[in-house]
Formats: sequence, C-alpha cells, structure tokens
Amino acid sequence: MKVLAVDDDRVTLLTLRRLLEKFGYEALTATNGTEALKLFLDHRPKMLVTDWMMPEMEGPTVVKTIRAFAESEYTYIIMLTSRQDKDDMMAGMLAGVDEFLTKPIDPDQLRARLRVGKRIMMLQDSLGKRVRELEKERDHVKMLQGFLPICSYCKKIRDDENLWSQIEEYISDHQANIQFSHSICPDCYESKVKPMEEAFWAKKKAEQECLHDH
Amino acid sequence: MENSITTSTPHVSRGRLDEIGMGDPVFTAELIDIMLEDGAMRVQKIRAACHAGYQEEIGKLAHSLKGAALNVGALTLANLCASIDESVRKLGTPCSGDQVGLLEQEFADVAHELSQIKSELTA
Repeated sequence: MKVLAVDDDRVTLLTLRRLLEKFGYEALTATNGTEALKLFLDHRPKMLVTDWMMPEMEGPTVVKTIRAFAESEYTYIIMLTSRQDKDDMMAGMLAGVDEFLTKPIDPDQLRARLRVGKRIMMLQDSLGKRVRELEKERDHVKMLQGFLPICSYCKKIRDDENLWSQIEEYISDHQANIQFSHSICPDCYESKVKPMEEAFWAKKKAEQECLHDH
Repeated sequence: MENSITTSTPHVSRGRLDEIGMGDPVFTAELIDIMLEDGAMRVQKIRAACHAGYQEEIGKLAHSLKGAALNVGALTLANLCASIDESVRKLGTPCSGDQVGLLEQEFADVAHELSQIKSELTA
C-alpha cells in the first residue's frame, strides 16, 4: 500500500520514510505541499501523513485540495502536529484530516494509526468493489428487463410473474403515465373493417330489395 | 564546577535517538548528518532573519528546527525553538539577539554531541 509522507523537515521526512518502509508500506516523500499534490495525482496513494506547518502550502490546505480532487476515491489522512489545542484540531478535522499524531513521531503510535488507516482503506476498497458489482448486476437486470417476450400470434406480453397479458394492459401496468385510446390504423381499416362495412351494406341493400319485391 | 555540569548534561537524548534510529547505525548516522546540515542552515537563517527583523520567518524556521530537534532527542534545543516560535508568532514579541545567541550555543552543543555519537556508531 502506497503512503505519501510530507514534511519540510528532512530529518522527520527521512524518519517517516524509514518507518513506513519498515512497517511494509511503499513510501513516497515530498518536502512541500505543491510537490505532495503532484505525487498524489501521479501515484494516488491510499494514505497520507502530512505535517501541519510547511512553507508554500500548509498541511490543511494540502488536505482540502486532496479531498476536493479525489471525491470518489478516499484517502486516509494523518496529520503530524505539535498543535494540540481544540481549535486547531477542529480546523484540521474540518479540512478533512482523519487522525492526528503529535511530534516527535512515536514509531508505535504511527504504526497503530497506519494500521487503522489500512483497515479503513481495505474496507473502503471492499465496499467500492461491492458497489461496482451491484451496479454491474443492476445493469444486467436492466438489460434482461429490456427483453420483452411477445406472442408471435396474438401479441400478448409475458410479464415479470410469468403471466400473459394484452399489450395495452402490460404497458398500462408498467408505465403509469400511459393510457390507451383505441383506434384503427389505415391498413387494418382496409383489410379488416372495410370488407365488413361493405358486407354490411351489401346485406342491407339485399334486404331492402327483397322488401321492395314483396 | 560549572564546566563539569555542562559537560555531564546531555544535549541529546540517546534513548530517543536509538528509538528513532531503530537499531540501524547507518540510518542513525544519516539522520545525524541531515540534522547537522539542516540545523546549521536553519540557525544561520534565524540569525539573518533576526538581523533583518523578519519575525514571521524566524517563527517558521524555529518551528521547523523544533520538529527536527525533537525527532533526534535534542530536547533543550527544541524548547528554545518553541519559545522563540511562541514569542514571535503568538505573543508578537520580536526575537532578540540574546535568544538567538542561546539557540546558537545550544545547537553547537547538540552538534558536538551528535558528532560524537556518530563517531561511536561508525567506529
């Protein structure tokens, strides 16, 4: 798992690098916020350990920028600080910090916090994977719903409960906004209705002629 | 008498240095080298900023040196840095030449002790 460490003090940064490597992480290091953001975008580390006070860009600004950049992919952020008052902690948390670690770095505390971060990131990954699977399944279901079995002869539709219903009934049930007004298309008028009309009038005429003869 | 107290009081916590060095003499020596190099540069910059009256800059440099000092166990140096940082940035009191003088002296003692430790480690 990649971890980005940011500190303008080279002694602290070297210590962080060595500790991260010792704990089994792939360490990336930056000495200022600008360099950190570039490394972050290039490597997308899962965790970030950053100092609060740095030249050019302070830790909270780095954190805010990362949170704004990567809304969909979570990054676990630990802030190194000698600041311990409530207002500073609140400002850090509002910026998006997950955890604080006071200086000087205590190797055991760093290791413990990284483990928490790793657990959260693994959970995050597993949730993300599950969401992607569910989205895929949903798309599959949608695709299956797109196949509508229809009788080749009577044009009835087979619904979700395996029942056959008239097409207008099916559509009315599945599309609440649709109502049918029955009509006859020109083709059906020619092929079905017109012969019936003609037959009707022919019969009528025959009946009248018959009455007239009598 | 005064000299014996000065020489017997450690300026660097060996326990802290060993903890952060993780039992690796090469790594510990590397940390010491960086501390000596960066620390000397920061102390010089603090002196220059003090002459120029750049209080904000003094605060930032002192804060940064404090972090490094704490990391290698130079606690007195870290306290001096904290005191300068707090006075210039929180209390708005300009840093004095005397404060910087004390800082320079303490850094010289720390550097001397760290150099000795490094010699032991690399012997």
